Amino acid sequence: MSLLEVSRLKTYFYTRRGIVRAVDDVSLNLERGEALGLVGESGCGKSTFGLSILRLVPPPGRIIGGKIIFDGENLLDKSEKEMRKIRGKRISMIFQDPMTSLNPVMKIKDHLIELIKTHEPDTSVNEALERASKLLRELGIPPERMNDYPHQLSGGMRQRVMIALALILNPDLVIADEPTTALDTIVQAQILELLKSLRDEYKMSLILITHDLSIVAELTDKIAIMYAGKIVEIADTLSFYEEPLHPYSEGLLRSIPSIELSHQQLKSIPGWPPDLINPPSGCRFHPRCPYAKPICAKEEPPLVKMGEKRIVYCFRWG
Amino acid sequence: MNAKPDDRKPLNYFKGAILQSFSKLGFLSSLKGGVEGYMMITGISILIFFLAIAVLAPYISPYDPNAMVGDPFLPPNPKHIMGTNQLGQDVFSRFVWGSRTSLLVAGLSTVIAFIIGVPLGLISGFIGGKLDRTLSMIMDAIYAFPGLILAIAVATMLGPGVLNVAISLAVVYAPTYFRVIRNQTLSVREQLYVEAAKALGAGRMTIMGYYIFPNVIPSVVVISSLCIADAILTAAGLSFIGVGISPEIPDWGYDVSNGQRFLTYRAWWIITFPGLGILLTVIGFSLLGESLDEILNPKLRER
Repeated sequence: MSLLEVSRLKTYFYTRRGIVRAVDDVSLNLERGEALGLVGESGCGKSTFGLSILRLVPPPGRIIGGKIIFDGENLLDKSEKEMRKIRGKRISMIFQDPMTSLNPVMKIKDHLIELIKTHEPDTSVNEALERASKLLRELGIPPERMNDYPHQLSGGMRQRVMIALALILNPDLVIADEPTTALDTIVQAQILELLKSLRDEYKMSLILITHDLSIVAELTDKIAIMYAGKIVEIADTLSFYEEPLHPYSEGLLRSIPSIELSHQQLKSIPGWPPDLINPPSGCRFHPRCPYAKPICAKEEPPLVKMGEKRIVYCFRWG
Repeated sequence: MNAKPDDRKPLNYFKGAILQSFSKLGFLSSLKGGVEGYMMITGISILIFFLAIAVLAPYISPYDPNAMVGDPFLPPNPKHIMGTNQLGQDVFSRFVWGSRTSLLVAGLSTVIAFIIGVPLGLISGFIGGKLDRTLSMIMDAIYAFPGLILAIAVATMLGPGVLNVAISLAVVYAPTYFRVIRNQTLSVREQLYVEAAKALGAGRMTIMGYYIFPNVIPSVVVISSLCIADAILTAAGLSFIGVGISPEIPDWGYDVSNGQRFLTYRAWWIITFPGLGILLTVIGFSLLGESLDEILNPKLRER
């Protein structure tokens, strides 16, 4: 049985301008210990998807349909109190901006103790401190820095602290929402390296939400490409890079700058991301798609299975 | 920055907040360089001076403030350095004891206003929705009244007495705390660290107590020192009108109101010294408040 089975999840935002279909009919599976990269451009609903799993979609957003089966239980049936026990303990999240995701008035150790105490009230403070310092050392932060306030740490260190917070209770699933976007390239590489080694060590499942395909290649087993609130392709990482099936994936891969092709111009995908209040009919990518056929504008593209693990939603293959 | 391990009290978080603002803004350098450093030092000195007088009143005052200790209307002289009033009471002794009343009333009213305004503002801002709307409307309605008139109304209703005056002042100032805290809470609750805390399973009370409260409280420090200054004036106003503290308790406001009748006899000393007392305390608190404002809230500087 999969650790996480999301089926037909719909999260809509009821704004004054209209209904924003941020996550529209998304289905995904994630096995234990597997790492999934959820890739898409800004505003395609990938962060909302991550927050939906934790049931933390901010108003006016609401999850209006579907199922999120986590370890055999539907998270959408849980009470708020039960969810609170799952957040941080079994599913945890790493946020995009480490500069603002730590409470400025709490010391680093207070963050960690607070978290341990919330979920395991029987732990003594000393025990919690010991666990915290052990993990921090592993993450490359000298334990004496635990007495510092967040503003005394650099961005990379803060992100390590965030990772420590996400990992200290040994969760089954970690959702990392653009964990390296706010960091510079060198720190980015360090953090990725760290996440990679931690993933191997702790055997946790990982959902890596990002717009950066080059990060995903390093870290994940499986890639899901999201476009305008819908999944357009799911593939294992290797075959995805060898042969992207969906025209959007193809466009994404082609728009990565590469050293060998430095003399060429970057190929961008023409057009703009669609407005999620009034998405295009049929396949949402058809106005920008080089292979568009008349049917693409009329009907939703079918789910096409290619081989064992690959799924693509496109008329080209169906 | 090297506090003892394992002290997870909100007080420490508050300390954290202050320390953070200090280190962010280069507190020490601003003390040396800017005007606000001098403002703060002056304000604190004035306040310490009056606080010392108030605390040491029994030792400083040469006479019983309510006893007739000399001829009436004596101008300042070596025996009565601030003269005597129309009843032959020593003005200096009344000045010294009066500082107690003023500071007590102002302090008490601030504490009560804080206790009412801050939790309500926190809850209102955090929970939002209908509760927030209702509370905000009530508080705005109170806020719309001119402060002194509202205080007179409440004080008349409650009758004289130190506590009653403090309560009537608290009614006037609670909405200020409420509004400041509510608005700050609204902005802090959208911060990523609050969301991160939620994502790590923190409950509502934890979020309010450890994540929001310590982050909104620095602005209250500023507000309260400004409100205290205002409260001293209003309290004096209440005593002046005669709905404040009963005459047997020495009070600057009452003395000023009482002494103005004798200004025509050129007995300037009866009202000048208590009036000076009010003026200086208010200036002291205002200086402290404004300088704290400058140091803690750089965003408010452009006001």
